[in-house]
Amino acid sequence: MKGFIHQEWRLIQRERSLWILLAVFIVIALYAIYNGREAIEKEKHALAHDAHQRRAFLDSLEQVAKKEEAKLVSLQKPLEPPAWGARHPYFANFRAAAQATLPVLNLSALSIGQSDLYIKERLIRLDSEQEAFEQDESDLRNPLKLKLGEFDFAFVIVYLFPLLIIALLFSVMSSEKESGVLTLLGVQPMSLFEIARTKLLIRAVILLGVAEVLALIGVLWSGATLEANAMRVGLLMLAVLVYGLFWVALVWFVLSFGKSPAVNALSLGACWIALLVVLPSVLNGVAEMLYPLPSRVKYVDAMRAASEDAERRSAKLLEQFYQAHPELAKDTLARDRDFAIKNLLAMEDVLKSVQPVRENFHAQRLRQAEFVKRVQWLSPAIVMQQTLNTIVGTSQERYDKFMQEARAFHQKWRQLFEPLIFQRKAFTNYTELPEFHFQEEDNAEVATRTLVMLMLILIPASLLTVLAYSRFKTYSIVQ
Amino acid sequence: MILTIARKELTETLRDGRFRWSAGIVLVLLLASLFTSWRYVSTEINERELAKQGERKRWLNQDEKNPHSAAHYGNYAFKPKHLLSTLDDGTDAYTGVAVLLEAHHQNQFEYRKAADATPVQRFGDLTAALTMQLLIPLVIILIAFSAFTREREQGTLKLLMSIGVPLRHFAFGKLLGVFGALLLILIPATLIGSLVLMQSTDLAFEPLRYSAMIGVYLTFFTLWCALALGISAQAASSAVSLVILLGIWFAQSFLAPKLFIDLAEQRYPLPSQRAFNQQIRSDIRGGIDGHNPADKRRKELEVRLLKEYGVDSVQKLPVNFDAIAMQEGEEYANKVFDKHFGNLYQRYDAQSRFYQWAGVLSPTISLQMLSMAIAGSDFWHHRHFATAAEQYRRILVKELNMDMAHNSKTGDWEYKAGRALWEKIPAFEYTSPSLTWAIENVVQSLWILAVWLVASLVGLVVSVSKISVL
Repeated sequence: MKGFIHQEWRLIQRERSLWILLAVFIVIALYAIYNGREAIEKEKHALAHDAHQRRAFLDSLEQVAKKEEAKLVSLQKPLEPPAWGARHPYFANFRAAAQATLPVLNLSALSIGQSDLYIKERLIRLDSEQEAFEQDESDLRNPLKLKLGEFDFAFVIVYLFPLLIIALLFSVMSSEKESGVLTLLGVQPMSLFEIARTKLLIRAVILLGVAEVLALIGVLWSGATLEANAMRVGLLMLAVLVYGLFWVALVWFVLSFGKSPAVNALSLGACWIALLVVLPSVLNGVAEMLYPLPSRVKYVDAMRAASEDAERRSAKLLEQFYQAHPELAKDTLARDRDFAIKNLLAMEDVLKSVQPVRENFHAQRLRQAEFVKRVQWLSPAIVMQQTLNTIVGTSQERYDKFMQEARAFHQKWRQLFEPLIFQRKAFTNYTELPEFHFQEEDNAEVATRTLVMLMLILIPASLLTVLAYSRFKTYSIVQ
Repeated sequence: MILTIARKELTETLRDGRFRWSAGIVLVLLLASLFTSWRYVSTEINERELAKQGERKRWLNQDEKNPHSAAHYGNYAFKPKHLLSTLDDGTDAYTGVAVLLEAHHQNQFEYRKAADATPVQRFGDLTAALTMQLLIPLVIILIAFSAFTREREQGTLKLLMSIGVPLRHFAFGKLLGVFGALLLILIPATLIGSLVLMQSTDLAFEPLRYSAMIGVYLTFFTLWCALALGISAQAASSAVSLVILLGIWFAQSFLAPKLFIDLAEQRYPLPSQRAFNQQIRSDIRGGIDGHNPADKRRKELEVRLLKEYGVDSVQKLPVNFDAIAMQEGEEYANKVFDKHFGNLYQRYDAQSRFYQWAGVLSPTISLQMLSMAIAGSDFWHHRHFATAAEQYRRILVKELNMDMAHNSKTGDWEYKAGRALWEKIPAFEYTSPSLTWAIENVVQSLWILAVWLVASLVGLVVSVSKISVL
């Protein structure tokens, strides 16, 4: 047995095509890691949020407010209700608008996924609930680039790695069979199954080893610290291993039929195309057919109609407001102060009337996503992409969590400013404004989600192995 | 002789179960994608038309208000969708559907479809373009990879050579045979496709664009047939031929596009949205050259107007100074927009030229560019609309400012205009660009694809003429 492994290793050493393909793969993977890193660096730069600058800006607003107050005192004018200026809560909310930012993890460089379509910065201020959470103002990107997607490590692993596995393993056994060497091997004191397994395993170990090393290089190059990300790095390596094993198992299964190398290559190629191209796009098509998204055009239309209505009703809304709050005498002196209240009332009115359209849209979108989630196990490639995204922090789930937190923060912001506006009180604490901080996903939760998805790859992989095992019992030496 | 060889090739292909299966799958996918996309595109076309009419109605029915309030209320422009984007959605899902045209800002387009899509979007949408660009070359590979190697492996090549079949006939016969088999998918797909598209009577089926589309795809398929056959003639065995062809297929349909668009972006980087906006803001405030700040410009305007009307204060002007100053501000901002958007578009153009050159290595890239252009779903079509919308915005804002200038006095923000003014401003009518215009943008790709066709045919003849019988 040991001698056999040794001989096999010598054979592999002489296999030129294997080493060439491996070298090409490594070069492409290194480029992909570099490229992902560049993309993330650029993104981080664009998102750079300077806390010091923010502090200084808020301090300067406080100074402005103090100056204005001093002026009013010198003119012997009342400080409350505040005039339209830095103490006016509506003005303050507008100038000191907060920013909710989704931080980019270093590890994200390995699998950018669809995160380049996310809007990771949301402006938080009173009049922007719709603007902040519905609008989709993209960064300046070449749309074709967005369509084609990033050339990152995940692309190399999901698309290219299986091809490498297929290319280097499809002719194991079958080429021996074609050349008649298999008959000679048959007289060895080893079962054919053992021979096949050993030959395949030696090659698989090389390939998987290379992929794992590349994953590790990717992690280190991305600038993620190993200690802080130990769990994520572990999961990443596990995912690469499991995905690789699935493809090795598939090759193993196809080989067990004992067909010629050309047939093996053809069947494996067909599997690759089915799992990576046909199935995902069919899933997209079916999702679109079963749960068509209402047009965003309709949404804009409804919103415009609603805001027109609200504007028309705004005088009446204000009247109603004063009727409901007789303690706040109508402020006939300052049009601006009524303007703020009127604006808020109109905004709420618009929100209320577009609510059904919006809910309908999001519910349908959720159904679509749910559907894809339910059937994704059909293609391990889809599952793998989602797994990698989950591990490196570019998953839809993380983005949804961000949006949820940003919404909650927006509510907090409203509760801070709206009472002041309605009661015509001055805004006095620029320096104590709340800041948004994203609560990073729980490690345990990331791990659970990842492991569940990996099971979806592991189950078909084991099934294929078992089937192949039983088929090899009846493997024929001759053509 | 050519026909005999072609007939033999065709018969053999048709008897092959693998061909029947894969052709069947591809045909089903093609038709399914056609129906789903058509359903989406035709509803979208209707909805955008309705939204456009609704927007105009709202504009006309708005209450009496100050023209400047109306300029902020603005107008939404909805980008029309081309019927042929049923076949190739291009970059439509990534460019947004509507833009708010209002005073002071050249806004960005909002609501990209891709941002609402499922997490599987990037694997590819089920469109006819995806099927034709990725899967049909595979069917061609399947038919052609063993066309010559099999003859050799079965020993029939020697027989053929001994009868003295001219090698060129041999090459073109095979080509015809392979292409003939392919037509069994393409003809029904094209017929059903045109029937489906013509269903949309009011949606302007453009036969010229449709024919051009068929033309470029046929060119692409022919060159793939020639390429596959050429490699089959030189490959040592069927397995080798298959592996090489699959490698080429993968490299040029997956690696090359991703790689070269990346390189293009690295070579001609775009500014971040934030930096871009900041530059525009600072140019408007401080002057394009940095020496002509906004308040100085306003002061100069004031002096000029006072002199022109021979009065000593803006209050005595017969026109509304605020409105005129606003219009001047608009004109200045427009200059700034033109400068920055001009630079930005030049960057995009440079990226696109670079990317199109990569077609020399991957004809899929050339095909992709041509297909999007013909379908009216490429970035140039988007820009064409964006530019038209921006022109309309300028007219709209100017009309409103000028009305305010001539019908109210300086400082009078209570002035209200009504329906007469709203009606005076014409609705935004957009005419889509012609096919010639669309092709001109990507003419580089057209040439590259043509060169590919010729080169692959020549390659086939050369490769077959050097075929070895052993």
